[in-house]
Amino acid sequence: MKNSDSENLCKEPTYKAFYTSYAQGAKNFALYKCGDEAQALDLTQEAFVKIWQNCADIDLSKAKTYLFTTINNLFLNAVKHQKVMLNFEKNNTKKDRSFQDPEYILEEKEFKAQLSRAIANLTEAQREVFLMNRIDGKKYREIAETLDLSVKAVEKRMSQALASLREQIPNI
Amino acid sequence: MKNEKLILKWLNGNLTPEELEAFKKTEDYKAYAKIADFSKELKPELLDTEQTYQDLEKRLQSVKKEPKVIKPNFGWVRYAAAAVVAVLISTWFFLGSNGIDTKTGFGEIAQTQLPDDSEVILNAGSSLTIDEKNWDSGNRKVNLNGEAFFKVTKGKKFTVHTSAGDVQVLGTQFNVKERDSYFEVHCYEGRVSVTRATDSLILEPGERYRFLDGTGEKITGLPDAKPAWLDKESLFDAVPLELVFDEMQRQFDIKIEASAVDTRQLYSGGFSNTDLQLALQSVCIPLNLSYEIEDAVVKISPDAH
Repeated sequence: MKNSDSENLCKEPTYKAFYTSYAQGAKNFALYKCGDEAQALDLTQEAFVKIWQNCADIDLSKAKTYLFTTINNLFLNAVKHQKVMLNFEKNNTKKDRSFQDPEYILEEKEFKAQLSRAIANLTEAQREVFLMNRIDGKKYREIAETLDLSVKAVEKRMSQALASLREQIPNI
Repeated sequence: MKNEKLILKWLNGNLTPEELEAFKKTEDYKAYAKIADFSKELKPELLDTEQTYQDLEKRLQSVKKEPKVIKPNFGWVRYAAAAVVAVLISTWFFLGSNGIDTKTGFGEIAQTQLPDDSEVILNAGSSLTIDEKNWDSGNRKVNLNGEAFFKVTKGKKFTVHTSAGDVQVLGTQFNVKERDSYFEVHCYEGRVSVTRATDSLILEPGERYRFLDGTGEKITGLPDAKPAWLDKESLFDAVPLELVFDEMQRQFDIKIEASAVDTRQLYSGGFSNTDLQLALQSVCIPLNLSYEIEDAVVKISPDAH
């Protein structure tokens, strides 16, 4: 329970390094839950404040899990739950420059809209795991550790998410 | 879902090349690949963590003030420690009966925080003392000599005592200026009660009370955010020239000799508290005066032209 290491979150350099490493991932996680950038940042900052307040009680090795759990709890306490619609970056066509005939662009636009809606319809548990894997590029083991789940549970959510998306977009 | 194991391994990025080849031949591969690939393009905003950390630090400032006690195994130890701290702190307050003093010299501005977290900013050549003996019993009272801007935290009655009069508030922002024959209170936020001799009145935001040459008056104006001197400027509104020069002496630590001009005439305007030349021009040109600077002495005379 006590933190006797020299690496201690009460020390500002350690705390700042911890912040720099995990703020982005934590904010994204909050975004997958609430669907609003500003609110996601608020939740993240609040969670980091809580960590600072309890720095003496948090083991550095558990701090990441603590961070994500705190965001989850803060989110559950926030009253407003809304549909989580994420947006594709506008004009994101760099990758497909060779395919830019109008028909393709229209199709792509339509597909993206369908996908956004389908992701919004996932359960929160499915969505956060699916997007942490897709957008943040995290492996199942890392997601499991971060969210304090078993790898099996993460896999289950992943396959449920994918099946649901496939079902919602039948004519790909 | 068909091929579930394969798909899961694929999303986790650990299919062997052979498995990948096999997977690519399954009928649903294209659909899954499209979903998986496009999902990657959902772009959450990138944080500028340097910036957001700075914002966070501001919030942490208020948290930092709390003493961080490593949780002991026995709960009672914590309370015992808290009790000791409380006793030490209060003894210190009682023993320090002389009170906290803040003083500013010429050209200085000083900021100080009172025990209740109220903020006071002192203008040049001013002093503030706190009557700490009575502070603990809920009687927030300070003595001011000079000019200061107060941001009072909400709570019990807060009194500023000056030789010219008393100012009382609950929680607000206001400026008090007491210089020789001049006494001015300017309310920026909340409500301020001013008492001078037998006179007593209430100021709303934007209102000022001014006492000069034996008469007090209430002046209404537009609500302002803070006094000009916090932005290193001195502003006057129909104030005798001698008081303007007094202020200039305090701001620049100089001596002004103006016996050759009528210092009873009124001046409206302002001067910079950082540039003496500019300050002298701002005052002298509109009044047709000229000035001469010799070391720390400024001679003012009527304009020859």
